[in-house]
Amino acid sequence: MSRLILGVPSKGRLEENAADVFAQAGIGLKRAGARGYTGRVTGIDDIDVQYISASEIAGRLADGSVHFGITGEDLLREEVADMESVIQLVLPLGFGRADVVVAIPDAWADVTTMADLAEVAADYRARHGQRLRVATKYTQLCADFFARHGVSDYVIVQSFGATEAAPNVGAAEAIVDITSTGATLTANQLRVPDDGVMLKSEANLAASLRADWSETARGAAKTLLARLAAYRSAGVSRQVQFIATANNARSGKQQASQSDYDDIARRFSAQKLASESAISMAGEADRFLVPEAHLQAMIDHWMARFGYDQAVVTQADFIFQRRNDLYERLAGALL
Amino acid sequence: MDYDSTTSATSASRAPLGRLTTANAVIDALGGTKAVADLLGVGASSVSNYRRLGFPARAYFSLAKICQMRGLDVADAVFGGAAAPSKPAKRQAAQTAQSSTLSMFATQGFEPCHTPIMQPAGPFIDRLGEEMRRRLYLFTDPGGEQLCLRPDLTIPTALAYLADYPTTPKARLAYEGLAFRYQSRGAGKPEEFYQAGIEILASPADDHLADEAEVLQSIVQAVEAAGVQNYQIIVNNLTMFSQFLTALDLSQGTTKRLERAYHQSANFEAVLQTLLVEAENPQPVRDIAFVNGDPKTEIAGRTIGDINARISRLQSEADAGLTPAQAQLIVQFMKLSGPINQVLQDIDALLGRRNTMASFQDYWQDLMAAAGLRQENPQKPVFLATAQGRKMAYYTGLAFEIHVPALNAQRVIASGGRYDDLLQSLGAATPLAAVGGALALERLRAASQQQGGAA
Repeated sequence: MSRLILGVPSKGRLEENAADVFAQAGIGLKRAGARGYTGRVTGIDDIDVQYISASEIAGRLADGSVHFGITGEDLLREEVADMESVIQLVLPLGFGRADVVVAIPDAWADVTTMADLAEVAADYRARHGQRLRVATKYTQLCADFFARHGVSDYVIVQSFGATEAAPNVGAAEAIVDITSTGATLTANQLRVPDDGVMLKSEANLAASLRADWSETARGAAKTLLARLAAYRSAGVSRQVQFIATANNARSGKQQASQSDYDDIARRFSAQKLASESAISMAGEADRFLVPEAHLQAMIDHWMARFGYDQAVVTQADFIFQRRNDLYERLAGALL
Repeated sequence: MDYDSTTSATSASRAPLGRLTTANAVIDALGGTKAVADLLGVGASSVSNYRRLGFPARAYFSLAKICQMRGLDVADAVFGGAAAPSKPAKRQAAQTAQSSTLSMFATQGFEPCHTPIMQPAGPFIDRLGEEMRRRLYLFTDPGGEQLCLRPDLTIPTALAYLADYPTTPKARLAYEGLAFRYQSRGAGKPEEFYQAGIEILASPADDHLADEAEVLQSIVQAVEAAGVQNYQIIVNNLTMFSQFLTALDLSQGTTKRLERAYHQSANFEAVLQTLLVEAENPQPVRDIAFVNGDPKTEIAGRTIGDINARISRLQSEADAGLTPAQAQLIVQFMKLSGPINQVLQDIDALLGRRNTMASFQDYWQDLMAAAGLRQENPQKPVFLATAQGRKMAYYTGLAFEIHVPALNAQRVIASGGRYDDLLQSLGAATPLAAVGGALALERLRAASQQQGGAA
């Protein structure tokens, strides 16, 4: 039965970042020699790693010759027609962040929105008898986005490098390109209209819905996703334990009831952990799992309500769930 | 009906002659100059020229077929290297059905025009609406030229006309052939289909109504000739929308934006939604600083003068955008559909005034009368739908479709309209009028079979 094939970028920052993210999750990507094009995953059998040029991973996912691939959402959306029906974005990986944006000459002060650009493009065509040229390598993304904003009087000029220079050298009037800080755009006297951000992209673990998902491949996917999800949820959650000191300000205060637990579950997505019996007998130390974003608010609320003196916050390395949501979602799409 | 056997019976009944290797020999074999002139619908002097210079490309296809039908063995080179059409059995059916449609157009004085399946991509990318553009089969030939498979035959025919008629006289052309459009997976529509149609090009303005009526009538006749008796004719005139906007008294910028969205965008609803959101959240006056510098200085194709002029306009109309009430009226306008007079009354009701579309009342009445269409015929009713005809992006006035609702997703068996800015945008020196219509032959046959007609 076919093993799971994971496509990883073969060089540069993308490769390093991919290896780091997996390593943090306790998954080692072991390359067969520094320049080898195959590898394996420590701790999970049944996965073959293939090191593939970053530009080809989208295509390999689209044709189903890899099960999983690590690549930018921008490339997936650009290169795969009907992406949603062929590929599932399983997990954003937090690196390779960049925005795909529309940029116009900064001196076009009257163009601050895409609606302005639509109007100016129409005027441009009426005046010059030619369409406004947009230089980009993202021809599909550009066509979709412009259509959504009613911009129709333009023509795409293919550009595979130094796109931001196109308006200055007279090769195009506007561009669609990727930017992380905007510094390159500014340096080239370009500006992004207020609603000109097309896509906030980052590297994703993506799954091909067309690959041969044998039982072996599914099993390996399940393990890999459980591990990644456990690491991911440990990263965004904190464990909180409330403590009352010896000369107890808490004496006489009420005990928390089920409705209090329901209340914080609703307000802070805080989850009460089953108390260990020893602590439970002392009656003093409920423990909770709280999303990092709500941590402070939850602590403030609970301390004020029940008169605790301290809250000890720790972070777990992994939080495994019996329910493997990432895998369930993938399996659902594979049916 | 078994088209296959009819065709082979015809060819078998004629004894094959010797192979013909020149246009001269083909013309003689077909009965001489006058006979060929009649077959092609051109003058005798043109055919005399063909004897010396060979056939023009647009005649290859129809002549090759005529020769095949008559059992003539013609060297490929006579038709530009294109072999006489030899189709697999399954195709032959469509082939015969086409011929009857095309020859009907020929008897109505439309000159058959052959165009290559592979076309330069530029004109299509430039002219088609977004939706069609994305369904184009694009590729690069080994010489590096960007080509596409023709997604319809209107633009190829217009290009052939411009190439053949440098003086751009009025022309009446007919065509038939395969067209190619990508269909998203699971759409259940063929990506390759036959079209037959007619175009009336470069007519003087006085003839416009008569031309529209003639195209409509010829297409309807072709539908009926195929044995289809139950259908709906959906008509629209895209200039009605402009008149409606004028009646709403909107700002220039908003009007332009809506007209563009109406004519060219597959996402009119999205644009309208944006306008609505803007209307509900009125923007403060846009405080944009003027650009300093010589008004004649160009920045990426726009002068500082142009940019500043637009800034002044934006500042003056900042609070004159679309009101929610106006947006609602536009939404309602776009949904109107029904008998012509009913829709015109509905528009009056929306605007709260009478006879807002008086000029169109006359227009539709005259057009229907000239085309010989009785709107109230229950088997073939005529409806006016105000959102009709925006998909192809090149219609500028009349737009019509013939529907057979029983065919569901494939209900549109014919469509057409006026596209007066097409020829100029494809290279004509001056604006030239154009109106045309086309039939989807496979769908026409499906409708015919369903209705028990003789296809």
